[in-house]
Amino acid sequence: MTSPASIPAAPARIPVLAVLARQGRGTAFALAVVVLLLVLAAIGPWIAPYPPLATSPLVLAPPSLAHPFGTDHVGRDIFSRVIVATRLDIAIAVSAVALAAAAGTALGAVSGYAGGLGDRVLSRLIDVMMAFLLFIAAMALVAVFGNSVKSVVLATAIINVPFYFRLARAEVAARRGIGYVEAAVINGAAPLSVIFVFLLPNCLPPVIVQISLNLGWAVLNTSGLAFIGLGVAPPTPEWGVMIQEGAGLMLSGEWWVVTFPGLALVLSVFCFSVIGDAVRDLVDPRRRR
Amino acid sequence: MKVVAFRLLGALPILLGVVVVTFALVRALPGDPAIYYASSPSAGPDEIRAVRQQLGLDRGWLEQFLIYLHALAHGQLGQSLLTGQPVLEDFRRLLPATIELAALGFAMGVGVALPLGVLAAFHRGGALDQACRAVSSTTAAMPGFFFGLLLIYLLYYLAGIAPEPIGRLPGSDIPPTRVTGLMTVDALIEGDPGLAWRAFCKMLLPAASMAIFAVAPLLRMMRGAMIDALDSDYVMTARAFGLTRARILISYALPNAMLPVLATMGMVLSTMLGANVMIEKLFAWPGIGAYAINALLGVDYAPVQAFVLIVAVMFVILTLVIDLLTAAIDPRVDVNG
Repeated sequence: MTSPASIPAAPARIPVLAVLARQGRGTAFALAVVVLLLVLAAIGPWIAPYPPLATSPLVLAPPSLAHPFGTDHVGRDIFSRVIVATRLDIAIAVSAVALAAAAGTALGAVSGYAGGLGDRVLSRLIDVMMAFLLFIAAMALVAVFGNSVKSVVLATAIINVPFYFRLARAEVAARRGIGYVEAAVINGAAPLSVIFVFLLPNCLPPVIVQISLNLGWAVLNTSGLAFIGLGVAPPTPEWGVMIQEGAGLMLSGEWWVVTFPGLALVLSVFCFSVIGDAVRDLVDPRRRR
Repeated sequence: MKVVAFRLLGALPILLGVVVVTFALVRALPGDPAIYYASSPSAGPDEIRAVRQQLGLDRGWLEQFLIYLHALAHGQLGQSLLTGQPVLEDFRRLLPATIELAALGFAMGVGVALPLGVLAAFHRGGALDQACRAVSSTTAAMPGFFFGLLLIYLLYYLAGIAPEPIGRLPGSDIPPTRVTGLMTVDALIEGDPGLAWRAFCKMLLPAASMAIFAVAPLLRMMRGAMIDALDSDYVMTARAFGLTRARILISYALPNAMLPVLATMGMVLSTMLGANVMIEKLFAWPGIGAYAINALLGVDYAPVQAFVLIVAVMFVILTLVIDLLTAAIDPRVDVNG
């Protein structure tokens, strides 16, 4: 365990990774897996042994040397599909969470700084959004935006905005009367620069924690939507789609069609959440047990 | 009683907001139901106009909304175009199946998570604690639909001990006369414990798949809260007085540790209500989740609106129940505040 004093106040990128990796064996393992996922997302389509959509007469072959994860009901290589799917799953999660964090914190900060009627209306609207169950709201939004990958990103981003909004709003509203902020205002800083230069950096730690915890959830959400037939559609290689396509085969014993994409899903979500926990411990040592 | 009424009143603005947002969302769904539900694909513009008029879709948004509110106030949720039934009728038929499944799933989740959390807290740092941590990390990353599929493979295909994972009863059974709509209860009322048992067995796999969503957050919270309680001064005092371990656990540590766990239960229930859509679809369970997703994919406005609304209402009521339970356990909490 590192003492809080050894954590650099304004850490550069490499030290953060190094500090994270030193959080324990579990965290180091999770970090390695996430790096692997990112590499696969970047170069997956080029290193996959077969084209992900290529069918073959060899249907439902169990795992073998030629097909390490077996083949599915139309003879596609599951190993290649699992690898190629990484890019889509990671890209959806990262862009949705980035959108939510950017929009949510900016809105929350402006609302909390401005106060007044606009702030009250916006906050009530956010309360209403929170009353919708996340997955059901995502379902409805994807249906509204049309069944596409873009809709999944947008829907996932929208339902996550409230969390960032509340974080930023609370932080900014609590600090706007503090001395250094007033000093900046007296010095003639424009409201927007007060918000974004002097106030917003204070909410970065909780926002970063929320982002890292959010990523795994976003992957689960995407695959869950795909599983019920929303968002990513077959034959696109995506873990949830692959699980849905192979679901019926579990009844007849062809376990590999579902199991390998499922394990890829579980492993990546697991590693994202381990890293999220480690980041939270780093940012807020009081919560460590 | 007054307190309950007061809190329900406080939830009204949120519910009204939910109604408005739901209405707007559902109207924004792509696809024109009038074309979808005209008698044939080759229906002429006249017929489509007639269907649109019949569905009230030719009026303005505001007027449609007011009509919807008026109907809602009279307990009408509209007509499902897919089933041809009033939505309320459909829900009356399907809701018990969902409630029966969700209740068993929640009970299973709580039944696994809370004892494990307490055990982990007692053996902090030991092998048992490590094992519990592994369980919570794995289940947190495990989507219920994947877990359900693994269970189907292991218990139905390989071991052959689970019944076929489709529907509420084995195909050879005749459903009992409907009284409550809860299959197990109805079978018992009919005096057929064998049937009740078979219905119960049918629920085990889907309920376990739903329970998986509840285990991780409850286990973590129970462990953390129990550790806080065990480290507290009042438990130390109780130890110094020589009370037995069981006495300390039941009378002092557990009630205090339950407070944060109860608060987590609200979050867990909401995740489970959402997850129920995936699980019902996977197990062909005739509940409101599967019904809603079919309606959503079939451009059927009314059931989707009703579903989102009913789930939100259930959520508000559950949150209220949890608040009241918290107040019952903790005398410091003022329900009116």
